[in-house]
Amino acid sequence: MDFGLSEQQEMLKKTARDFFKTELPKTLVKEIAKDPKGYPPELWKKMADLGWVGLVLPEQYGGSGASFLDLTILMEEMGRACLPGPFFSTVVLGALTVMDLGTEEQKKAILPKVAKGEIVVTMAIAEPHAIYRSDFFEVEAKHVGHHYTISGTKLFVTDAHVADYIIVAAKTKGGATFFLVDAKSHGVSCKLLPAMAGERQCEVKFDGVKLTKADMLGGVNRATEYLDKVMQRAAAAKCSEMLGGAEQVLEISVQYAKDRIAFGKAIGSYQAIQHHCANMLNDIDGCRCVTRRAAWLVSEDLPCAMEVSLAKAWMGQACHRITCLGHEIHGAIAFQHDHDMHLYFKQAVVGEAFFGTSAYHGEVVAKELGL
Amino acid sequence: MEFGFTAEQEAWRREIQDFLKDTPPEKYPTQSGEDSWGHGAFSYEFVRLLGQKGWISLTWPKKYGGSERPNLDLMMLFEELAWARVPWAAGAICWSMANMVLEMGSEELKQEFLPGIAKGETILWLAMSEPDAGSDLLALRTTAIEQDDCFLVNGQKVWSSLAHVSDYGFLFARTETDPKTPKWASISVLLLDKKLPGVTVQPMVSMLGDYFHTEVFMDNVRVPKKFLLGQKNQAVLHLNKTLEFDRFWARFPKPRFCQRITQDLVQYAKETRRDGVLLSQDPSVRAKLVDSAIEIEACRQVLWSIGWKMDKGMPLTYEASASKVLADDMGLRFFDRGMQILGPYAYAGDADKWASLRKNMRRWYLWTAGDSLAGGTSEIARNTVATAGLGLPRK
Amino acid sequence: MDFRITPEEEAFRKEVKEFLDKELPKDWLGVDPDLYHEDAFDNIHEISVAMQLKLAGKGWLGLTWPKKYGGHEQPLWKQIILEEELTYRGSPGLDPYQFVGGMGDLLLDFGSEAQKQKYLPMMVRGEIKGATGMSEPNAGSDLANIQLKAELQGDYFILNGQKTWQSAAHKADLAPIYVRTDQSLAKHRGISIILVELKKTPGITMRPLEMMSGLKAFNEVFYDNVKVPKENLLGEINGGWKIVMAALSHERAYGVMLLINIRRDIDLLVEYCKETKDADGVPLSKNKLIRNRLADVAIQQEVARNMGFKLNHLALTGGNVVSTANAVKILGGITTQRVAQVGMQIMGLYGQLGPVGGNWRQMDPTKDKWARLNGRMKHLYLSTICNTIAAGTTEVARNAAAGALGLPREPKPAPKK
Repeated sequence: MDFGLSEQQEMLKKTARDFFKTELPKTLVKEIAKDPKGYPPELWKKMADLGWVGLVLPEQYGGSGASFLDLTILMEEMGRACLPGPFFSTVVLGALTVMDLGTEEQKKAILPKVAKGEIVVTMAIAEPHAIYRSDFFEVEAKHVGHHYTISGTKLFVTDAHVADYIIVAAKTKGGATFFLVDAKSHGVSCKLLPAMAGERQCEVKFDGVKLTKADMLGGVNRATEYLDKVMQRAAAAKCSEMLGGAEQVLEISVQYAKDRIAFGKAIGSYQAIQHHCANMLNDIDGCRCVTRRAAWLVSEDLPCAMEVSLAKAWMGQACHRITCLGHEIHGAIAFQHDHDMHLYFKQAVVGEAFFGTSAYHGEVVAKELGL
Repeated sequence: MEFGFTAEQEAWRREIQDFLKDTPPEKYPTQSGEDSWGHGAFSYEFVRLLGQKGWISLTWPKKYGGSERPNLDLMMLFEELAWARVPWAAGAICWSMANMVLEMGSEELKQEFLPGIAKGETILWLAMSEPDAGSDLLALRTTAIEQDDCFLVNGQKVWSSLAHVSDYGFLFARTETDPKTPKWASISVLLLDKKLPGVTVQPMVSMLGDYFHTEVFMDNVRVPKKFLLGQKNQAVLHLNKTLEFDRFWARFPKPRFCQRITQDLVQYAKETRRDGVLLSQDPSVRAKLVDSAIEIEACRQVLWSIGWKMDKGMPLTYEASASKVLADDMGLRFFDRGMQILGPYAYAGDADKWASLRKNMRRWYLWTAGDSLAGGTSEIARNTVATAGLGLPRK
Repeated sequence: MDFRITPEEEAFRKEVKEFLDKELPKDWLGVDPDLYHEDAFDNIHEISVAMQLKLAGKGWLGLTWPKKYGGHEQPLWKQIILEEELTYRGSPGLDPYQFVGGMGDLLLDFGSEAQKQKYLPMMVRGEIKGATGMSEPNAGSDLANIQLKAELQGDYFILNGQKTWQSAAHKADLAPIYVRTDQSLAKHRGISIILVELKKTPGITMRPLEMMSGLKAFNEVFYDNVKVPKENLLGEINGGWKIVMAALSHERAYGVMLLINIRRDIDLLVEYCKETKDADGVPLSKNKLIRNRLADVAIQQEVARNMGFKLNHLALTGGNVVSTANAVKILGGITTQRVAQVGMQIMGLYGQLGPVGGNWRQMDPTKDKWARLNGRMKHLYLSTICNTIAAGTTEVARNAAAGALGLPREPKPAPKK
């Protein structure tokens, strides 16, 4: 049992926090929220140069060979900074999948470019029924002769509009298969959805997109069970982002409670406000424990279904509580767009909705309980 | 970072589990309350068994009969005992006081008391709260005035858990009555022999109908000076630590205990039908069990992280108060859900397989309401989390 | 005690319903009653202005006011029914700053004859929009801390300073502005109220504030040597605090409005669940967990709504409304947030999608293909956050409720030396 971070992890955390403090002021975050692209290319380049985009990629492909756990420590800071952009899509959904399932040729084609920050990758899983399970897929890859033809609509695909590659999970005979699709392929069209926060989500239509076996990632029907792994990694990484955000909410709320005077005293002297802050801290301690444990288990490649779902379900509900209290403590001022609180409030909503809501993950926990 | 246990730790766990299999707790008589950890149950015989195994003194220095095992081993022990619903309430309470004797006691006191505590033969009770000194402990009024050959003790304690089955009280009393002395510099701790003339223990019946707490009246009790723990008037400096132990260790097993009950409830749901539908297939019952499982585990993980910090000797500020609030809030919600899952059948008197679960759920529901106030109210605890933990202004 | 409805009440409610059926666009889904939509979108504002004139045409503005000032001297229960029906349908046009216990009542209680003769008839005719100028950056919960100065110079007050959170200010004609007229007196003793004709008075600058929901319905308002005739003083100079108290107690309607408005959203959610099927083809309304959650918020809304009935009854019988209004406001804020949360849970991934402000008219499917329930839940989730803060935070309101129970107040800090 060891709840501590290693020296390298501490350093990574500190470096990231300092970096984002200077390079990503909230004014920039809000500017990017209006930019259809959804991320600042200069910042992306800087993160690539720092080795962060390739952090978990093997050194032979230009990465640092760090662990998934290290990645989640970095992502805690990204959540704290409200980092917009395709880091999550490219690294967690894209590169890690290619690393596991890709042929040597595919890995050589994709991973070094990812590490250098030269390409964006994402994955298309959910469809209009909004369920992350392959047995519900309607987007189908029909096998015709030597080709596969994909048709259908995927929804809630993050960063598809700026992606170079979209990994599509499509129904094939007997299961589901991943296809590594060049986003500029004929028949692929992306449309941005009117979403909530800085996150860019797309409707992606596949209209008879022609692919071959060489475009498969991992072989026929590999996605059927591998999708579970993608979901677990994505859920754990999402929890890490949410954790960072929650911690920042507590910090700014406590600071506000110390600074804001009403009726002659700092509002942090009033018991109602103190209890709100205490409740937030207690919730966050729970968040940190379950998130880090989930990340560690995924990183160690140990059985993690129960722990990851438990963490994701917990985070969705806890971050709702924490961000609501953050607003409550700040009073009216945080209701303004100018303030930063709502960035975290919205981030918490997106976090809860993606890669399985609390209800979805609750069902996983139910099964693990034997119900 | 590491969330697993070493091979040695797993072997230790198996040792505890084997012991519990060989000596099932249900077979031992209880002197107070009815079955299960903490919620009133105490079995003198079982505590002695734990003493024989050397497990009460697990973390003590070898010099005093301990095994100098790390805190994490003790935490594992507590969890296994909680899962098995061992009736060792008094043993648990003893732990923190034994540690105070280790820390504050003279060599003479250590030699006199520690062996008996280690064997489970000497039981201590915490004589702290008074009618006008609950959350505001510094307002206590029991006096222990130094005489030539003793401290003369007069006063009253309330909520003294299990004093009626204990031998010595860990007595907080005022040894300096000069009003100019600040309250925090006027309190001492004495080990009070219950058999001394002038000590009367009276039952306090809780809303469960149980006899767990007591009132203790001290009328001109002459306590020999050697039973002073540490220095006169210095107890408050050590007060925080006692309460820390009390809050943390008393609450540490609670999540694991609740996990055991969750397992029972899951089984109950899988076997019980209502309106023809298995409860385990009823979405709202599933949701209650799932929400409970998640919250309990999150709480458990936080308590482990605090125990780990204590083990590493890291400075703690708010953690003990936080562990109390977390565990007690969790308990309130859990047993409420438990009652809802049982529904009206919580009151059914059938003598079937689930009779014990039903009867106990009603008890636990009442008990957990009291927990929220025990060891300091959750309101005060939250204040401490805010001030000590976050630096918000004290009043 | 009698919970029955009289035939007159039923008839009037029917009349209002039929009016709304006729006057609201056929695809009207509703806007929120606190003016955020009306002030943030010009096209809704236009509908609001038109609606206000239609209400005036029906003789429904200034319902309870004396005929002397153009009012209709109708019983208060009619006003209540009117407010309820307009709120439930999400109809714009009934300006809360004028009619829902606002400026009009203040004028009647504290205004000079000249002020009443000037402004009340205009309000009854639906010709002006109101706002209120209370809050400042350092005067939120601690309202007595207001700093905006008003110095009497000859026949004019000269106003200097800043207000914030003035909803509707950029569209308003008239607003009571809470000012400091005497710096030497204790905080709440040096306050006065001055009526300012916002559009016609030079020296006033407005800076729109965008809310986290994306709507621009609030303003910072800067007063730079603004001259206002001394005749516009409401009540006595330095006698503003009792008007403040009256104004705050008139906020009785706010909590009730929140609750009636949110009923529309509960009903929308129920319809949505009946029409929407899950991946197995089963309507969401058959999902027991969803049923339980909807039932829970519906119960909470009903309970709070009933407190609103009690509140109305107190208002009708001249009872003291202050503490009940306070309680309804607390419950109203919390209930709206609960509904938003349940709505988002039901929507799942779709909860994130929708245009700013949600759709107040049935959405055009070619434009908002994926925004389910017209993006209403997302807007609700982002906008209800302020319901436990605006018009008094829940924390301060609970302190007041504790005070009403006779519990001692927290000790005040010692005055600084």
